[in-house]
Amino acid sequence: MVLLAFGVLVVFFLLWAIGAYNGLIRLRNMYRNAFAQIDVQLKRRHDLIPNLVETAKSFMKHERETLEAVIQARNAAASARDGLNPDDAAQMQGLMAAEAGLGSMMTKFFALAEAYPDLKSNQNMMQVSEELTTTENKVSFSRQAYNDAATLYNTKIEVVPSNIIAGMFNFKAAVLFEVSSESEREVVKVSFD
Amino acid sequence: MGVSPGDRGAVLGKTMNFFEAQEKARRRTKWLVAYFVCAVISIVFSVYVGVAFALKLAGALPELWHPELFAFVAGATLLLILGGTAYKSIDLRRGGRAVAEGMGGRPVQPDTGDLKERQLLNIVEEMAIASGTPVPLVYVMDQEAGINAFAAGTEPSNAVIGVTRGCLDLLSRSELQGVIAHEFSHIRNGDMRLNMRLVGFIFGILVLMIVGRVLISSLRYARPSKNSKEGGGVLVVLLLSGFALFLAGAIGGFFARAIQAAVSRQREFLADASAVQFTRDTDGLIGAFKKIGGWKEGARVQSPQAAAMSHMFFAEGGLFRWGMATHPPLQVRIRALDPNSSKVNFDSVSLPDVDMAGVGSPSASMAGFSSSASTREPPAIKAAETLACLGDDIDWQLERGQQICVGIDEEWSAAARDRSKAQVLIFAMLLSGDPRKCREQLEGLRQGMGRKYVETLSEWHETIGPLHSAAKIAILDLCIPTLKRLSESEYERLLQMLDWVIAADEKVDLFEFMLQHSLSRHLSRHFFTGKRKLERGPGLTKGLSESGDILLSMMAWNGRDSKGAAKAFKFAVEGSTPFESRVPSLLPEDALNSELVLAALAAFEEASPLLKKRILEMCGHAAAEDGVLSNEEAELLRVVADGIGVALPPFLL
Repeated sequence: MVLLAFGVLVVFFLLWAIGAYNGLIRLRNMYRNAFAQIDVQLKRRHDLIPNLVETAKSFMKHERETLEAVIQARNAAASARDGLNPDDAAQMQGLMAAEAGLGSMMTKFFALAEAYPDLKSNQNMMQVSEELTTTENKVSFSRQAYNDAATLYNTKIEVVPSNIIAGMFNFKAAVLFEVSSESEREVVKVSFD
Repeated sequence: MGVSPGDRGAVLGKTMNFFEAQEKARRRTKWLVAYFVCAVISIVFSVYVGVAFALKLAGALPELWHPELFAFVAGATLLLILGGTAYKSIDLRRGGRAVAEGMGGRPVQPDTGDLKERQLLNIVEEMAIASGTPVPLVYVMDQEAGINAFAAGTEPSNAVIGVTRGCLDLLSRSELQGVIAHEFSHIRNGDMRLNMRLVGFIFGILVLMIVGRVLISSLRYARPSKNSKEGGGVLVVLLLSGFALFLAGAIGGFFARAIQAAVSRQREFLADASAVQFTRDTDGLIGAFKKIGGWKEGARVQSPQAAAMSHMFFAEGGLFRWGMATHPPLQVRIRALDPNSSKVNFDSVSLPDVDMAGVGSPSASMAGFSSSASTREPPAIKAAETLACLGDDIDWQLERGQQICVGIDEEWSAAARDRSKAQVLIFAMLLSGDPRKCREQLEGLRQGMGRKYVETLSEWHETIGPLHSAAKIAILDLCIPTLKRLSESEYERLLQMLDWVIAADEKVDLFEFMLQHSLSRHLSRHFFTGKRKLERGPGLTKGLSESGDILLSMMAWNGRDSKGAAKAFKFAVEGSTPFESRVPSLLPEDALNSELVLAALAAFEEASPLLKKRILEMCGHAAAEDGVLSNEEAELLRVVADGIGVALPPFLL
């Protein structure tokens, strides 16, 4: 009799454990997928910047250093993004730092571009900067979605009782994607209208 | 929806707490729906009172309260209301596309080359990410100069967003973003569905009024038979019931509309609040409100369909007054977003200098641009080079295309992107070279279009006329995407005028033929999809071999005498496999006409790509038999290529 009751308890525990484990997996996939959305936009941003610089080159002849710095920051961000595992906190920190650096370079670039009316009214430049603006916006909107998903997951692995399962199977907390400096928000504001 | 507080709160905390605002508006909306139910109940009672009173007067009812009669009246009234509601709801179920197209909207193509439209699509995608809804279809109402936008549809999946031309041209990126975010919150908060339901209810109540009116007017002609007191009594009862229904419907309808307006006003505040949540920025939305206030057209929407949809728009379209406004005043909306703002003086709002003349008033759509035509020399384009290859070397074509584009005067390529000026360009290329006929044509166009337009036209005609046809064709290619943005009625008028100008010339020359064919090929497909069958020549059908003969003969005869034609024809068919293994023969010159050519082109359009390539090569050989490809021959080749659905590279410069 006692054995039977014990058996029933064990079965219930197992069922719960399976459910909790699957729930954690589902949440983890959700935030990973959300990161993939950011990743797509970041890649697009990195692809667009060389176009922008190429167009600007012929107008901003005296700003060589800035343009080179933009390209360098872009390359740093692109290599930080390349093959990134969103679960790896160190890599994520690296990406955030590189993105922040790129963001501040872009702010500087657009501030300089203000001084070149020909560049601002150039059709090609207008197109590229429109694409860049929309990509920046999409990055920041999908970052919100990612952070929401990651927070949901992090809460789940910390609260009782699902933290037991998380501890047993070594679920690690997701890293929130925060942009440290104000610069990235600022660059969204730059527009050519 | 979970929101990380640190991220958005920092931006929003100082301006407003949107969660609170959403909750408040949602609660109020519930109350308003409850009022609506009360309105329906009181309508049922007033109809009963009217009917019972009429019956009592006729002596058929001893007491005013009669439960069975009440059940009957209530049942009938509710049935009418619900039936009307159901009818309207089913009508509205067609979704947002029907609404947008009904208001004269044009879907924005995903591959649009127009910078503003590109920006609009980008913003819609951004907002779809921010709000977590599917990306809706986007429509532009080109004929509306006011600043307004709407969302329509019954589900997020069939939702569409429409913006006016004024909205697209006058607002900055962040302002447009605010407006689009506002419309997205209508989609996400289920406002569209609520609105559709309210429209249905109102219609249901109005049905009572209609039935009452029908009852009254039908009795006007009925004559009570003499000596029949009972018959007279029935008539009185019916008449009074009719009045009761009519009055109940009218009064109920009035209050229902007032309630709808109030619901809508609350929903607008909610949508403004959510828009801020999506964009994290109040400045864009406030800027858009200010521009609506400062713009002379305001938020006006002229489409006759707009009245019934007024509650779906971004701002009041000037349709309802007297407390029936569906949107709160602009000042109040600005104040709600930024409590610290002082009263806005709309007169001091600066608007971008965009040429909006010609938008909105169909009769003036071609007038109203500055007539500053270029006095510069037209770019010289060297003629003649033998045709080398057809569509093999992409790099080479790209280079040529760029050279031609550079060769085109900046002013013209800019004009080709403008809706009105593109039409003028087309006419400038079409006017007759003969000064007398040209004057006649200008005179005719002046009556149709206005003086200003004709002045520019004649100036442009002088500069554009002598251009090489490759450059003209390039200008035409630039114009086509712009002309796709015309409204359907504008397009019909353009076609009419084109027909007239070409007919006034008395002879259809090659370039005219080519231009008309190319325009109708590209544009009627765009404008008449699914509506009208494409006009397919005069109904002649030809076999490939016969068609080949027609096209090659046309090429051979072009600019040659009979001996030259025979030589060119022979040169073209030499070494090529004949079509349908029949020996090709040169047709006599007078046997050729435009109907035959159109039929031949249609036949090859259906053919396989390899056959198309072969006939093009043969035509090319026929044209270049003497080693020179003239201006006219190049045009002719383009006609053939375009007519059989092959993009021929601009191989001439």
